[in-house]
Amino acid sequence: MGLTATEVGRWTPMRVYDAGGEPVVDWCHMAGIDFTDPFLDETVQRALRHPFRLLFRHQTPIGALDALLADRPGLPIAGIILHLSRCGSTLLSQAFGALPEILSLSEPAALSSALFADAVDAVRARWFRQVLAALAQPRRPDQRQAVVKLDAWAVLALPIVRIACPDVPVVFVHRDPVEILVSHQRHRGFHMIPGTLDAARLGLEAGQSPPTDRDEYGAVVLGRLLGAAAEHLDQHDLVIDHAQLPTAIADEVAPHFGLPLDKHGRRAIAAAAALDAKNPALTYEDDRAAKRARADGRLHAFVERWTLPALAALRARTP
Amino acid sequence: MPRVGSDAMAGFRAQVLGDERLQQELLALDPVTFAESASAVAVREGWSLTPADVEAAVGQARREWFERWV
Repeated sequence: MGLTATEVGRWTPMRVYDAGGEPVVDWCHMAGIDFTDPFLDETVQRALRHPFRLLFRHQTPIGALDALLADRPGLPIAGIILHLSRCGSTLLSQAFGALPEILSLSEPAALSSALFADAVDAVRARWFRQVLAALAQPRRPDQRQAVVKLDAWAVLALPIVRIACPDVPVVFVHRDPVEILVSHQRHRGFHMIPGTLDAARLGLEAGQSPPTDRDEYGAVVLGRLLGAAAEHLDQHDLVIDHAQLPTAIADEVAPHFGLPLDKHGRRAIAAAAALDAKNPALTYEDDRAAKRARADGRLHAFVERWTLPALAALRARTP
Repeated sequence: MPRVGSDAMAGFRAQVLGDERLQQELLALDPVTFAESASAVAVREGWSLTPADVEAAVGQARREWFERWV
Protein backbone atom coordinates (compact mmCIF):
# COMPACT_ATOMS: atom_id res chain seq x y z
CA MET A 1 0.00 0.00 0.00
CA GLY A 2 1.30 3.45 -0.85
CA LEU A 3 1.77 6.41 1.44
CA THR A 4 -1.52 8.12 2.28
CA ALA A 5 -2.23 11.77 3.03
CA THR A 6 -2.99 11.06 6.68
CA GLU A 7 0.49 9.56 7.14
CA VAL A 8 2.55 12.36 5.60
CA GLY A 9 3.25 13.95 8.97
CA ARG A 10 5.05 10.83 10.15
CA TRP A 11 7.21 10.36 7.06
CA THR A 12 9.89 12.66 5.64
CA PRO A 13 11.47 12.74 2.18
CA MET A 14 15.09 11.80 2.77
CA ARG A 15 16.07 11.85 -0.88
CA VAL A 16 14.71 12.29 -4.36
CA TYR A 17 16.33 10.08 -6.95
CA ASP A 18 16.27 9.52 -10.66
CA ALA A 19 14.56 6.27 -11.56
CA GLY A 20 14.72 6.69 -15.30
CA GLY A 21 11.47 8.59 -15.61
CA GLU A 22 9.75 10.79 -13.10
CA PRO A 23 11.94 11.24 -9.98
CA VAL A 24 11.06 9.10 -6.98
CA VAL A 25 10.73 10.31 -3.40
CA ASP A 26 12.30 8.01 -0.80
CA TRP A 27 10.51 8.47 2.55
CA CYS A 28 11.81 7.71 6.03
CA HIS A 29 9.53 7.09 9.02
CA MET A 30 10.46 10.01 11.28
CA ALA A 31 7.69 10.06 13.89
CA GLY A 32 9.13 11.07 17.24
CA ILE A 33 12.42 12.33 15.78
CA ASP A 34 13.17 16.01 16.19
CA PHE A 35 15.24 17.78 13.55
CA THR A 36 17.88 19.13 15.90
CA ASP A 37 21.09 18.02 14.21
CA PRO A 38 23.17 20.64 12.40
CA PHE A 39 22.20 19.01 9.08
CA LEU A 40 19.06 17.09 8.17
CA ASP A 41 21.18 14.33 6.65
CA GLU A 42 22.63 13.71 10.10
CA THR A 43 19.11 13.37 11.48
CA VAL A 44 18.29 10.89 8.72
CA GLN A 45 21.44 8.89 9.46
CA ARG A 46 20.49 8.87 13.14
CA ALA A 47 17.00 7.62 12.26
CA LEU A 48 18.36 4.92 9.99
CA ARG A 49 20.29 3.36 12.85
CA HIS A 50 17.04 1.52 13.59
CA PRO A 51 16.70 -1.33 11.07
CA PHE A 52 12.95 -0.73 10.79
CA ARG A 53 13.52 2.61 9.07
CA LEU A 54 16.01 1.12 6.64
CA LEU A 55 13.79 -1.81 5.75
CA PHE A 56 10.38 -0.16 5.55
CA ARG A 57 10.40 2.93 3.32
CA HIS A 58 7.75 4.37 1.08
CA GLN A 59 8.83 5.18 -2.47
CA THR A 60 6.46 7.45 -4.35
CA PRO A 61 6.68 9.19 -7.72
CA ILE A 62 7.27 12.88 -7.13
CA GLY A 63 4.04 13.61 -8.99
CA ALA A 64 2.11 11.97 -6.14
CA LEU A 65 3.07 14.78 -3.77
CA ASP A 66 0.31 17.09 -5.00
CA ALA A 67 -2.45 14.76 -3.83
CA LEU A 68 -0.61 13.75 -0.66
CA LEU A 69 -0.10 17.33 0.44
CA ALA A 70 -3.39 18.86 -0.70
CA ASP A 71 -4.70 18.97 2.86
CA ARG A 72 -1.32 19.13 4.60
CA PRO A 73 0.65 21.95 2.97
CA GLY A 74 3.23 22.02 5.76
CA LEU A 75 4.33 24.91 7.94
CA PRO A 76 4.61 28.34 6.33
CA ILE A 77 8.21 29.05 5.31
CA ALA A 78 9.47 32.08 7.26
CA GLY A 79 12.74 32.39 5.40
CA ILE A 80 15.30 30.79 3.14
CA ILE A 81 19.01 30.83 3.98
CA LEU A 82 21.46 30.84 1.08
CA HIS A 83 25.18 30.92 1.62
CA LEU A 84 28.72 30.50 0.41
CA SER A 85 29.50 27.57 2.76
CA ARG A 86 31.66 27.72 5.92
CA CYS A 87 30.33 31.20 6.62
CA GLY A 88 27.94 30.90 9.56
CA SER A 89 24.83 29.63 7.80
CA THR A 90 24.65 26.56 10.03
CA LEU A 91 24.77 28.89 13.00
CA LEU A 92 21.72 30.65 11.57
CA SER A 93 19.79 27.44 11.09
CA GLN A 94 20.75 26.15 14.53
CA ALA A 95 19.80 29.47 16.13
CA PHE A 96 16.35 29.50 14.53
CA GLY A 97 15.91 25.83 15.37
CA ALA A 98 16.46 26.76 19.00
CA LEU A 99 13.17 28.67 18.90
CA PRO A 100 10.34 26.33 19.96
CA GLU A 101 7.99 27.62 17.28
CA ILE A 102 10.45 27.08 14.41
CA LEU A 103 11.18 23.92 12.45
CA SER A 104 14.68 24.35 11.04
CA LEU A 105 15.50 22.37 7.92
CA SER A 106 19.21 22.35 7.23
CA GLU A 107 20.35 21.41 3.72
CA PRO A 108 17.80 18.69 2.96
CA ALA A 109 19.28 16.53 0.21
CA ALA A 110 15.82 15.92 -1.26
CA LEU A 111 15.38 19.65 -1.88
CA SER A 112 18.63 19.96 -3.82
CA SER A 113 17.71 16.97 -5.95
CA ALA A 114 14.35 18.54 -6.81
CA LEU A 115 15.94 21.92 -7.46
CA PHE A 116 18.53 20.55 -9.87
CA ALA A 117 16.41 17.82 -11.45
CA ASP A 118 16.58 17.38 -15.20
CA ALA A 119 13.36 19.21 -16.07
CA VAL A 120 12.13 22.59 -17.24
CA ASP A 121 12.16 25.46 -14.74
CA ALA A 122 8.44 25.39 -13.97
CA VAL A 123 8.54 21.68 -13.19
CA ARG A 124 11.64 22.01 -11.02
CA ALA A 125 9.95 24.83 -9.12
CA ARG A 126 6.83 22.74 -8.58
CA TRP A 127 8.86 19.77 -7.36
CA PHE A 128 10.91 22.04 -5.08
CA ARG A 129 7.75 23.53 -3.57
CA GLN A 130 6.15 20.11 -3.06
CA VAL A 131 9.23 18.50 -1.50
CA LEU A 132 9.62 21.53 0.77
CA ALA A 133 5.99 21.19 1.87
CA ALA A 134 6.58 17.52 2.66
CA LEU A 135 9.70 18.38 4.66
CA ALA A 136 7.95 21.21 6.49
CA GLN A 137 5.42 19.03 8.26
CA PRO A 138 5.55 19.98 11.96
CA ARG A 139 7.70 17.72 14.11
CA ARG A 140 6.26 19.10 17.35
CA PRO A 141 2.83 20.57 18.14
CA ASP A 142 4.31 23.98 19.05
CA GLN A 143 6.03 24.54 15.72
CA ARG A 144 4.36 27.29 13.67
CA GLN A 145 6.82 28.16 10.89
CA ALA A 146 9.84 26.68 9.15
CA VAL A 147 13.20 28.12 8.16
CA VAL A 148 15.13 26.31 5.45
CA LYS A 149 18.83 26.45 4.73
CA LEU A 150 19.69 25.23 1.25
CA ASP A 151 22.95 23.77 -0.01
CA ALA A 152 25.59 26.33 -0.98
CA TRP A 153 25.14 25.69 -4.70
CA ALA A 154 21.39 26.41 -4.51
CA VAL A 155 22.11 30.08 -5.17
CA LEU A 156 22.84 29.01 -8.75
CA ALA A 157 19.14 28.12 -9.02
CA LEU A 158 17.75 31.06 -7.07
CA PRO A 159 15.35 31.99 -9.92
CA ILE A 160 13.74 28.55 -9.53
CA VAL A 161 13.46 29.05 -5.77
CA ARG A 162 11.75 32.40 -6.45
CA ILE A 163 9.19 30.74 -8.71
CA ALA A 164 8.53 28.12 -6.05
CA CYS A 165 8.44 30.50 -3.07
CA PRO A 166 7.82 33.98 -4.48
CA ASP A 167 7.04 35.72 -1.19
CA VAL A 168 9.53 34.03 1.11
CA PRO A 169 12.32 36.28 2.44
CA VAL A 170 15.86 35.28 1.48
CA VAL A 171 19.11 35.88 3.31
CA PHE A 172 22.51 35.26 1.74
CA VAL A 173 25.47 34.74 4.06
CA HIS A 174 29.02 35.16 2.86
CA ARG A 175 32.53 35.42 4.27
CA ASP A 176 36.05 36.32 3.28
CA PRO A 177 36.70 33.69 0.55
CA VAL A 178 40.23 33.14 1.89
CA GLU A 179 38.81 31.93 5.21
CA ILE A 180 36.32 29.72 3.38
CA LEU A 181 39.00 28.10 1.24
CA VAL A 182 41.19 27.42 4.27
CA SER A 183 38.21 25.68 5.88
CA HIS A 184 37.69 23.56 2.77
CA GLN A 185 41.38 22.63 2.72
CA ARG A 186 40.78 20.79 5.99
CA HIS A 187 37.55 19.11 4.96
CA ARG A 188 36.21 19.76 1.49
CA GLY A 189 32.51 20.22 1.02
CA PHE A 190 30.66 18.26 -1.65
CA HIS A 191 30.54 21.16 -4.08
CA MET A 192 34.28 21.78 -3.71
CA ILE A 193 35.17 18.39 -5.13
CA PRO A 194 35.81 18.61 -8.88
CA GLY A 195 33.09 16.92 -10.88
CA THR A 196 30.22 17.33 -8.44
CA LEU A 197 28.97 20.50 -10.16
CA ASP A 198 28.96 20.37 -13.93
CA ALA A 199 31.17 22.77 -15.85
CA ALA A 200 28.22 24.70 -17.27
CA ARG A 201 27.01 25.51 -13.78
CA LEU A 202 30.48 26.82 -12.95
CA GLY A 203 30.19 29.29 -15.80
CA LEU A 204 32.96 27.65 -17.78
CA GLU A 205 32.71 27.81 -21.53
CA ALA A 206 32.35 24.69 -23.67
CA GLY A 207 35.66 22.89 -23.84
CA GLN A 208 37.14 24.91 -21.00
CA SER A 209 38.42 22.61 -18.29
CA PRO A 210 38.13 23.50 -14.62
CA PRO A 211 41.42 24.07 -12.81
CA THR A 212 43.18 20.92 -11.66
CA ASP A 213 44.49 22.59 -8.51
CA ARG A 214 41.90 21.90 -5.82
CA ASP A 215 42.30 25.25 -4.12
CA GLU A 216 41.96 27.09 -7.39
CA TYR A 217 38.95 24.94 -8.25
CA GLY A 218 37.43 25.95 -4.91
CA ALA A 219 38.04 29.61 -5.75
CA VAL A 220 36.29 29.12 -9.10
CA VAL A 221 33.27 27.61 -7.32
CA LEU A 222 33.13 30.42 -4.77
CA GLY A 223 33.42 32.99 -7.54
CA ARG A 224 30.55 31.37 -9.40
CA LEU A 225 28.36 31.26 -6.28
CA LEU A 226 29.15 34.90 -5.55
CA GLY A 227 28.43 35.78 -9.16
CA ALA A 228 25.05 34.06 -8.99
CA ALA A 229 24.26 35.89 -5.77
CA ALA A 230 25.19 39.23 -7.35
CA GLU A 231 23.04 38.39 -10.37
CA HIS A 232 19.95 37.01 -8.64
CA LEU A 233 19.66 38.76 -5.28
CA ASP A 234 17.59 41.93 -5.23
CA GLN A 235 16.91 44.84 -2.93
CA HIS A 236 14.40 42.83 -0.91
CA ASP A 237 16.99 40.25 0.08
CA LEU A 238 19.27 40.49 3.06
CA VAL A 239 23.03 40.00 2.66
CA ILE A 240 25.00 39.19 5.79
CA ASP A 241 28.75 38.96 6.21
CA HIS A 242 30.06 36.31 8.61
CA ALA A 243 31.68 39.13 10.59
CA GLN A 244 28.18 40.41 11.47
CA LEU A 245 27.32 37.15 13.26
CA PRO A 246 25.95 36.30 15.72
CA THR A 247 24.51 39.77 16.44
CA ALA A 248 22.80 39.96 13.07
CA ILE A 249 20.72 36.83 13.72
CA ALA A 250 18.40 38.52 16.19
CA ASP A 251 18.88 42.09 14.99
CA GLU A 252 18.60 41.66 11.22
CA VAL A 253 17.74 38.15 10.04
CA ALA A 254 14.87 37.47 12.44
CA PRO A 255 13.09 40.75 11.55
CA HIS A 256 13.77 40.06 7.86
CA PHE A 257 12.02 36.68 8.28
CA GLY A 258 9.16 38.36 10.18
CA LEU A 259 9.98 36.48 13.36
CA PRO A 260 9.31 38.57 16.46
CA LEU A 261 11.71 37.72 19.27
CA ASP A 262 10.89 38.11 22.94
CA LYS A 263 13.57 37.87 25.61
CA HIS A 264 13.24 34.06 25.66
CA GLY A 265 13.80 33.91 21.92
CA ARG A 266 16.83 36.17 22.14
CA ARG A 267 18.22 34.02 24.93
CA ALA A 268 17.67 30.85 22.95
CA ILE A 269 19.49 32.33 19.97
CA ALA A 270 22.34 33.58 22.13
CA ALA A 271 22.69 30.15 23.72
CA ALA A 272 22.82 28.48 20.29
CA ALA A 273 25.36 31.04 19.08
CA ALA A 274 27.65 30.24 22.00
CA LEU A 275 28.12 26.73 20.64
CA ASP A 276 29.98 25.38 17.64
CA ALA A 277 27.11 25.15 15.14
CA LYS A 278 28.41 22.01 13.45
CA ASN A 279 29.37 20.31 16.70
CA PRO A 280 27.19 21.72 19.49
CA ALA A 281 29.10 19.65 22.04
CA LEU A 282 31.84 22.28 21.68
CA THR A 283 31.76 25.99 22.39
CA TYR A 284 32.16 28.43 19.52
CA GLU A 285 35.61 29.82 18.85
CA ASP A 286 36.30 32.67 16.48
CA ASP A 287 38.85 31.19 14.09
CA ARG A 288 38.98 33.96 11.51
CA ALA A 289 42.50 35.10 12.40
CA ALA A 290 43.78 31.52 12.51
CA LYS A 291 42.31 30.80 9.11
CA ARG A 292 43.80 33.92 7.56
CA ALA A 293 47.18 33.03 9.07
CA ARG A 294 47.07 29.64 7.32
CA ALA A 295 46.47 31.15 3.89
CA ASP A 296 49.55 31.47 1.68
CA GLY A 297 50.16 33.79 -1.26
CA ARG A 298 48.95 31.18 -3.70
CA LEU A 299 45.53 31.02 -2.04
CA HIS A 300 45.28 34.81 -1.98
CA ALA A 301 46.08 34.89 -5.70
CA PHE A 302 43.31 32.40 -6.48
CA VAL A 303 40.85 34.42 -4.44
CA GLU A 304 41.87 37.62 -6.13
CA ARG A 305 41.54 36.12 -9.58
CA TRP A 306 38.31 34.18 -9.21
CA THR A 307 36.21 35.69 -6.43
CA LEU A 308 36.95 39.35 -5.81
CA PRO A 309 35.22 40.71 -8.94
CA ALA A 310 32.05 38.80 -8.04
CA LEU A 311 32.28 39.86 -4.42
CA ALA A 312 32.60 43.47 -5.52
CA ALA A 313 29.57 43.04 -7.78
CA LEU A 314 27.59 41.58 -4.89
CA ARG A 315 28.52 44.47 -2.63
CA ALA A 316 27.59 46.93 -5.36
CA ARG A 317 24.17 45.30 -5.77
CA THR A 318 23.29 45.16 -2.09
CA PRO A 319 23.32 47.85 0.59
CA MET B 1 1.50 -12.87 -3.06
CA PRO B 2 3.38 -16.05 -2.01
CA ARG B 3 3.77 -16.16 1.73
CA VAL B 4 7.04 -18.11 1.48
CA GLY B 5 10.26 -17.63 -0.43
CA SER B 6 11.87 -14.44 -1.64
CA ASP B 7 8.54 -12.71 -2.26
CA ALA B 8 7.58 -13.09 1.39
CA MET B 9 9.73 -10.10 2.38
CA ALA B 10 8.11 -7.96 -0.31
CA GLY B 11 4.68 -9.01 0.89
CA PHE B 12 5.49 -8.41 4.54
CA ARG B 13 6.97 -5.02 3.65
CA ALA B 14 3.82 -4.02 1.78
CA GLN B 15 1.64 -5.11 4.69
CA VAL B 16 3.71 -3.14 7.21
CA LEU B 17 3.73 0.01 5.07
CA GLY B 18 -0.06 -0.09 5.05
CA ASP B 19 -0.49 -0.77 8.76
CA GLU B 20 0.44 1.86 11.31
CA ARG B 21 -0.02 -0.55 14.20
CA LEU B 22 2.58 -2.90 12.74
CA GLN B 23 4.91 0.04 12.09
CA GLN B 24 4.72 1.04 15.74
CA GLU B 25 5.29 -2.52 16.87
CA LEU B 26 8.37 -2.98 14.70
CA LEU B 27 9.77 0.42 15.56
CA ALA B 28 9.57 -0.45 19.24
CA LEU B 29 11.78 -3.50 18.76
CA ASP B 30 15.32 -3.49 20.06
CA PRO B 31 17.57 -2.73 17.06
CA VAL B 32 20.14 -5.26 18.28
CA THR B 33 17.72 -8.19 18.16
CA PHE B 34 15.57 -6.75 15.35
CA ALA B 35 16.01 -9.60 12.87
CA GLU B 36 14.85 -12.24 15.30
CA SER B 37 11.95 -10.21 16.68
CA ALA B 38 10.79 -8.87 13.30
CA SER B 39 10.81 -12.34 11.77
CA ALA B 40 8.62 -13.52 14.65
CA VAL B 41 6.16 -10.71 13.86
CA ALA B 42 6.24 -11.71 10.18
CA VAL B 43 5.53 -15.35 11.02
CA ARG B 44 2.67 -14.29 13.27
CA GLU B 45 1.24 -12.34 10.33
CA GLY B 46 1.51 -15.41 8.09
CA TRP B 47 4.77 -14.73 6.26
CA SER B 48 7.47 -17.37 6.21
CA LEU B 49 10.52 -15.32 7.11
CA THR B 50 13.53 -16.33 9.16
CA PRO B 51 15.87 -14.05 11.11
CA ALA B 52 18.42 -14.65 8.35
CA ASP B 53 15.92 -13.41 5.74
CA VAL B 54 15.35 -10.20 7.71
CA GLU B 55 19.06 -9.77 8.35
CA ALA B 56 19.76 -10.13 4.64
CA ALA B 57 17.05 -7.63 3.71
CA VAL B 58 18.35 -5.07 6.22
CA GLY B 59 21.88 -5.61 4.94
CA GLN B 60 20.77 -5.07 1.37
CA ALA B 61 18.86 -1.91 2.31
CA ARG B 62 21.87 -0.58 4.18
CA ARG B 63 24.18 -1.34 1.27
CA GLU B 64 21.83 0.36 -1.21
CA TRP B 65 21.59 3.40 1.05
CA PHE B 66 25.35 3.73 1.39
CA GLU B 67 25.80 3.28 -2.34
CA ARG B 68 23.12 5.78 -3.32
CA TRP B 69 25.64 8.23 -4.76
CA VAL B 70 27.63 5.58 -6.65
